[in-house]
Amino acid sequence: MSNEPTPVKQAMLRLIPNLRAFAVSLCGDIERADDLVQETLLKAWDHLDSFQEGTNLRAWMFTILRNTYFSECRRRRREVEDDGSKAADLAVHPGQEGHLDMQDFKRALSGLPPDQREALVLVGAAGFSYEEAAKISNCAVGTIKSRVNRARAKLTELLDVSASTDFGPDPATEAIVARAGGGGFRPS
Amino acid sequence: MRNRNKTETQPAKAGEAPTNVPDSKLHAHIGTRLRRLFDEVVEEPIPDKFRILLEDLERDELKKKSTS
Repeated sequence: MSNEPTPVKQAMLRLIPNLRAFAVSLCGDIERADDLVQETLLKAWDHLDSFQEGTNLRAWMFTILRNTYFSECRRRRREVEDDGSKAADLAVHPGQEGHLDMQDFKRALSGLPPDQREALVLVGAAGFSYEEAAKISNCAVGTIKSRVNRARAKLTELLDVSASTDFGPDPATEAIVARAGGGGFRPS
Repeated sequence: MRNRNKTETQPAKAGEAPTNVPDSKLHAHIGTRLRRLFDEVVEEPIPDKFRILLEDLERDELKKKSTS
């Protein structure tokens, strides 16, 4: 039997890193993210006949992934307010420039409501247009824009104190950031 | 929920360090870090379990076709 990859399998394989990144941003936990990606691959494979050749496979799989995530949240209940606080457990290579800075950012990101975080990631990190993001999230373009704006405003508010360390270090500010970022959560 | 859609310099609140950093700079700051977080995962090698999964799915598919 030939192990020659089919075009579809190749396309899906190429998308996995992207899907993982999106999944992690949603649930904040690489293990759970990989479970999500696995489910997404299975569902996508099962429903390939409903995928229109020539349309955006990436957007289609992102849609399956986020739908899986949110319906799982509803089922699990306990993670309805999933703040992705485990996101900061992901290793940011220690010793690299801005290690603490990234921890602060992850914490701030985890403080967003999931729909806002999703919108921000789709548009600001995954490179989708507002229209594409709206389709993936099954909402109006205006809703996506509103979520992105609110996410940015909230992050700005959360990072406002730490931002000044970028533009001028200040020990007092760092103390405030350390306090603000706590909440029983310890990054690795 | 407060409407924070307007882009304007955030006033310093009591007890916080004052910042006159314009929103556009902070937005760029956010965008850079967001993409870095995302790219960190994207750049990781694909775990074997996913390759194996796709190979299994494909093999089952081919089996089904050959026996139908």
